[in-house]
Amino acid sequence: MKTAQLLLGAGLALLVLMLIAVPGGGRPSDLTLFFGRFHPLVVHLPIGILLMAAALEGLTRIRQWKQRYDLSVQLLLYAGAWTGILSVIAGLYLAQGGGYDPSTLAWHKRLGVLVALLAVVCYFAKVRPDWLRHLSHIQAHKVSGGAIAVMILGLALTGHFGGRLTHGSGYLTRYMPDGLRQLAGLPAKADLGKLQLADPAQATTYDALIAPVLSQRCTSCHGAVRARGGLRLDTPEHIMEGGDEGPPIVAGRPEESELITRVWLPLHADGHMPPEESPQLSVAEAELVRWWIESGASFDRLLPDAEPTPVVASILDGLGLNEIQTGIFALDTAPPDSQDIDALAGLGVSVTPLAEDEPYLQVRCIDLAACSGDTDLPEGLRKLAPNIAWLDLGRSQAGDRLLETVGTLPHLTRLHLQQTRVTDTGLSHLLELSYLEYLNLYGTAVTDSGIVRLSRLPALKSLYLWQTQVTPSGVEALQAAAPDLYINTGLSLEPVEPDTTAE
Amino acid sequence: MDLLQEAREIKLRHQTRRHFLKAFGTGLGAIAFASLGATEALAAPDPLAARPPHFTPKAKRVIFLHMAGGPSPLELFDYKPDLARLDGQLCPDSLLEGKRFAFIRGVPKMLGPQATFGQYGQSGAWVSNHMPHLRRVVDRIAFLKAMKTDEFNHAPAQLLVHSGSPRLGRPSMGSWVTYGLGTENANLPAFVVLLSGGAAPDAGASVYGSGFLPTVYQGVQCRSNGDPVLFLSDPDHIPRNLRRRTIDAINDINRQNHEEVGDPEILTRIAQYEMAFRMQTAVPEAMDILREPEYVHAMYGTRPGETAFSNNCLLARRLVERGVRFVQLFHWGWDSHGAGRSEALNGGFLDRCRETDQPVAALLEDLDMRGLLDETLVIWGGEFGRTPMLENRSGSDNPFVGRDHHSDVFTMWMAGGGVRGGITHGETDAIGYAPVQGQVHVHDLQATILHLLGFDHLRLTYPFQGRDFRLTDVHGHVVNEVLA
Repeated sequence: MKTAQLLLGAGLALLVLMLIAVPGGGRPSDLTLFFGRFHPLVVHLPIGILLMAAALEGLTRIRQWKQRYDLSVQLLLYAGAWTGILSVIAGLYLAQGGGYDPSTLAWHKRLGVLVALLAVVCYFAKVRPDWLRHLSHIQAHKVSGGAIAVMILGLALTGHFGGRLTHGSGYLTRYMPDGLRQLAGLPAKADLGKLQLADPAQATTYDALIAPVLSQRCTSCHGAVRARGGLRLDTPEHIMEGGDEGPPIVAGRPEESELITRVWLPLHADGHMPPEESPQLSVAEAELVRWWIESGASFDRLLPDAEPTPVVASILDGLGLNEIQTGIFALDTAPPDSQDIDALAGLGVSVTPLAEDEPYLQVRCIDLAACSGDTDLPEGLRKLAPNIAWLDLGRSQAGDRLLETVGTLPHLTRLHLQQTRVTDTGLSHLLELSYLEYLNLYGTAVTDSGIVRLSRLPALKSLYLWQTQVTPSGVEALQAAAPDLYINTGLSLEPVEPDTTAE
Repeated sequence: MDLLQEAREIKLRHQTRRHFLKAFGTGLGAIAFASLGATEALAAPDPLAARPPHFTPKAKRVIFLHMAGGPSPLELFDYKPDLARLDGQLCPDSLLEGKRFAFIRGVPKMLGPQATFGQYGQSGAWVSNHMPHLRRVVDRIAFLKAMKTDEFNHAPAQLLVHSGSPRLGRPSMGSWVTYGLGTENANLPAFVVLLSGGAAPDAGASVYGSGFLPTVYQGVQCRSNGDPVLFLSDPDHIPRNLRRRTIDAINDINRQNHEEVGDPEILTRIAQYEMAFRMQTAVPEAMDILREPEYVHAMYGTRPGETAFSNNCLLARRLVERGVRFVQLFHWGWDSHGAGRSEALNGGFLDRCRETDQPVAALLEDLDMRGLLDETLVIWGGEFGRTPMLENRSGSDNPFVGRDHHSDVFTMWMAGGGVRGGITHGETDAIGYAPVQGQVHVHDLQATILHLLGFDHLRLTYPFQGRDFRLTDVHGHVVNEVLA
């Protein structure tokens, strides 16, 4: 009896020693990992044994059964304490392999140690109640009962965190009925695997697609807590800075980027990443990272501007990112009032929604003589101001006065003013149209001084200036200020050699 | 005949119409009542009123340049130097096994490209010497080089391209689009058809017909010479105000008739009279290419006063400029078998190239400088491709050089609204005989066209004979690779 108690004491001392002298940094030896992998085997012993001990301890509270089960509880607690200590030691070795979520691992470790300690405490409370009596006046069986209760609670929590480390966080709730999921504040089952982004239109490719992969698969070893090989992958700055072997990525060249080539190595090969005992990147994750590096490894390019390859497009489809709303379509605009639409449609224009279930309208002038600033048209447009996205006043009587109103349509993206009487004065009213993408001014009297200010339109993509007063130098100045703008100044016919094939 | 069957037939013989009406009286009443209610619902909306598509469109309008007869990709865009080396050799059996041809019999000879090729534009697209003007605009074009059809004869293949079925009776693409979108310009037809090349399409007016859709959606054929729309002009000595009063009187009578019987077709008739009256001024204005300045005529190479493809291209631009949704051009004469000068790669084919090259390039450039190409989808192509073998009609040599019909691969191209310019999608093998990658079936092209116009091709349907029909029937995938 004494020997057994002494031995357990020694085991406890070993555990404490291990905790203090925990090996850290560097690659763990094969022997470490060999022993570590016994953790999942050993760990189920204390779970079963200690649960059994708790159950029998309950029975000892019934007077006539106290004698019968007391010794069993002592034996079970002894076995539970030993297997608990062994589990913790094996677990500490296993953790050396890395690849686990650091915060979950920390909790699992703390609670595991606590359970092992409590098992020891419970055992001694049971076999040496006299020690307790020395310490206080409380009844020993109350102390041991309480300690066992706390231990079981700790056991449950440790088990939970351990399961999360092994199976990932959604394992338990994966097949939970949708009603329960809703109560628990979880997304519906159909949305599992879909990326939940607050505003996909404003998210960068890196933040939405790449950083989550790195944080799930890499940063437990290459992060703030631990930076193996001097490499940290948790921030853009650290990624670009690289580790002992230089930067892990070469923008535009995935085949030269170690972040990719190491993932591509065979699982057992030396240098394969993540280490083979850790969770691996899925094919889709590896492809996303490869594509991101290939397309320039930009940390601030927005998701809507990304140009996915067909393969990446299908991955994005699976993530629910196939249709990212941008520009005005990302806004929460109220649907138009149908009376206002009818009123506007009576003013010589056609008014049609852009699409089903879309709050935006396209307005096209049909009665060319009626579309001017001197009619009720400005008032009709103003009433539907937030809803008008496309406005076609081409070939109409529209002039600078009407543009005063047009310039106040906040969500205008396409504006046709070709062959109208608008001049530079009218253009100055349009400079607040922050969503304007298309502006057709061909056949108007606009000049260089009018168009040069159009570089202030942040969204403008295409500008049509054929048959205007604009000169080549004016176009050059505008192009310099807005390099990505497509400016069409009309035809420049190159002579064509005719086909001279003889019959 | 057994006794039971005889008894059944005798019973049926005594079942008169009177019996039927008596037995089903309540049912008929219900049907009549239902149609009365439906009248109110159906009469209200104008079938041609502008309607929104399923999602925000990239293209508002379509110009479809159909090169009827099947232009040879091997002489235009699909550059096959290996085929030149094989010229004159007998075709190996492996290429003929299990294949059916329209005219080739026995073992034909291979025929090298009857053209010289070069790469043009920043995209480096291959274009032959027969299309010198088109080289200027290749960076706006997405070539589909592995198109696939199911038919190797003209009429069914043309029907498949335009109506999604090789048999008669389905609505054409332009009709579907008009049915889906209505029209923005009530003064002009929404779907206009322009013919050139000396012959109508092989499948006849069905390639622009409305099939089982209401006839209001069918293509309106306009002539580029003489009266654009037949029977639209006022008769001699009938002034326009008299015409107006005539139509008012007819419409009043029709309205009275509608109040009495409630047939919605009467309202359609009234709308047609009104539209015809409006078209009397709008159509001649739109169709009068002489209103265009001289440099535009020079650009397209028009031939005023004749029926010419170049005139039709210019007309197409004038029509889309005025809000016409779908302009369908047919240019006949690309059927280069080699059986006669007019249908030979060294004869009529060269003429067709000369007739179409300049106006097509001009159309793209003209649309672009007017800001229209950005929102107008232009499609070019025939109904099938042509064999890399020299046609040997019924086993003997033809007097001219030509190729037979080929349904496995052919080239079409798209440009404009929502299309990624300067790309080539799809690839054929070393002799342009079979697809290697990026095959696009005719139904896929249709799904893509509808997608660019804002439609989910699965949802643009019309109920007929007990089921919902669509342009792509039960097929079609959007070709994402060509989307901008």
